[in-house]
Amino acid sequence: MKTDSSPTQAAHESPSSVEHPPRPRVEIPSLTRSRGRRSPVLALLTNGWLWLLALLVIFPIYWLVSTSFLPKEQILGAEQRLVPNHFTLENYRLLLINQEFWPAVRNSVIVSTVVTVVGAYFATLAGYAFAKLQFAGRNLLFKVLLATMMIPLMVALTTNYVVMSKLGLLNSLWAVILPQLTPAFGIFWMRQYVIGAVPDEILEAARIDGAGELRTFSHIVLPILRPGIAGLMIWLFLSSWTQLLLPLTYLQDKKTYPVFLNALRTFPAIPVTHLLIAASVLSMIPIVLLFVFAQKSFVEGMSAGAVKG
Amino acid sequence: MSAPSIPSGLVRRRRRTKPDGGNPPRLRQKQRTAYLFIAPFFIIFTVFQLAAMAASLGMSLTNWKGATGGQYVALGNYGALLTDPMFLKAMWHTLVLWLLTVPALSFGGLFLAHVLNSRLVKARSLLRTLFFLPVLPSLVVVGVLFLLLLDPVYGLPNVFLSTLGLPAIDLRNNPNVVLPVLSLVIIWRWIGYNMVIHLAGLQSLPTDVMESAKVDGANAWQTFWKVIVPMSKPTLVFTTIMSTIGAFNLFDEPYVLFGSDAGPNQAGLTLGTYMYKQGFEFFNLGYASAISYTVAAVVLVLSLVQMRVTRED
Repeated sequence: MKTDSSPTQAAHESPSSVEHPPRPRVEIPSLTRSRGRRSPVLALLTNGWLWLLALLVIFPIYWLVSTSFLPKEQILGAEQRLVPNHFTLENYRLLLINQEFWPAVRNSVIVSTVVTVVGAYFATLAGYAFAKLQFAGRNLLFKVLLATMMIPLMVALTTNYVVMSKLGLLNSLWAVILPQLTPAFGIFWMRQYVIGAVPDEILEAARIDGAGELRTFSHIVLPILRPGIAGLMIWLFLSSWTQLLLPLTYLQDKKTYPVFLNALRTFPAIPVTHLLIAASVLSMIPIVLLFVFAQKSFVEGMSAGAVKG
Repeated sequence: MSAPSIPSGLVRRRRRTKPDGGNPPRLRQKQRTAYLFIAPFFIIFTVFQLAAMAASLGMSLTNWKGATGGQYVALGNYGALLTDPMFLKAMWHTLVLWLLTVPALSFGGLFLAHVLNSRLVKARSLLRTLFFLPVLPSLVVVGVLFLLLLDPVYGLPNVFLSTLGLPAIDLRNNPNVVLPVLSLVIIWRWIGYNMVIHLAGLQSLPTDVMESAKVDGANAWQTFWKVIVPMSKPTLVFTTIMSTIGAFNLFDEPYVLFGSDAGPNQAGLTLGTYMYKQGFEFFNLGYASAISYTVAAVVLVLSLVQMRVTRED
């Protein structure tokens, strides 16, 4: 990410704003603009296939949502159509009175909230230190972090199982929270963001002003980083809200929402497809809401690492 | 959350003062703060990730089973892997999936980004959002989605085919289509994510290169391969490596689509599902660790090769 904007500008923005620090937008001349007179036809064709593709891409999601409003008997019936001819909320009503639904929601909300808030805080502190503070072992530690990004999460899964059982954390939500609190990617992300958004001059100024490191961090750096932190929090929420492997492995009789969904899917005796579909639709709501409200900073933050790195 | 603002006058005034030239006590204090800043992350990271990674490397050298412990078997597990038909099958499937998905994700994502950057395209930001949407639902939901769509009797392709009077096809229980179906799901889910990363990359490119390509009369296809692709190398390396890591860790997609039995004739068995089966269904923790480290080694080698191949000469 390239930014030569003044950081104070970002800091002055309203609290609800998730704008990123402005950066020069370079519009790339289109591949088709040069084609002179044929342009309108080409434009039509280009727009046409893009929309066709986009509709194909979102079709499965549309299909799921529209199916969730069909009566139970018709969900796996030949009566399915593109535009459903029946509408009922019965599946959702049955889901909400399912005795496993609310505990699963509660567990997932706890896990995701802790991971999102605490994880973002830890990663921001550390990412800032890696970007702007000098300390012995800085480069080595950062290389270790980058290396662990290449090693699959599953490598830690087996031994953590033993660690968790020794610590008596199996079947506790902590077993799901702790390994998710420290994604190496989060530090990488924040470091890139800090480098792009926080100029050295402003830190120098604060230091000369007599502000300690902690004070500088909380009063000057944090406000500038707000968009990056918002992006990181969405990413953390997205990954913890949808995490299946950890709770499936470490929890025995507790369920998080994805595990609840998975159990509905593999339910042995009676098929509960109607519940499964309604539960699937509900699971997307928090993420879609979050995405709609903070799309810009999410996209911004997500690409920060890729371009610079 | 309030927005404490920085008095800009103050910043400008202070900049003129001579910067503090790092005197020793100040530097030591700074170092202490730095360690304080990284401590919370690194303590938890070390206990629950780094230590676990190191320990499982050790565990992969034992025949650890369940919670009972095990004995040192040196490289026995790794040797056994080489002759384990299931492991070789999983490795083969994973390589096929890697070849089917990674080029589509990196180059396809770049092409989509390139087109969605064109002024000819209307409602670009809406289109970008639509392409990005499949990243959002959890993988279990994705599984549900495709089980519904691919239902042998009521799934949409078959409803469509039967309307046309054609015979139905079974996309779920036919071992030959398991890997293509998995690849399609992976591409569907991740192409928007790659597109967004490439968009950011494209927008940081200088315009004059594109201008010169235009003057030369390069057509759209040539512009893409001769200008966009070479200029996007850093981003391509990033997306390729991330997708490689993703492909070799693949667990959720095959698990939710085909269960831990990996579908008909185990045609959907991947390294991820096999490791899970060994570790958490058979509790062969030592063997499962060896699988994980083999995967890690393959990913590392592939990443290094990709960086080598794409390096500027």
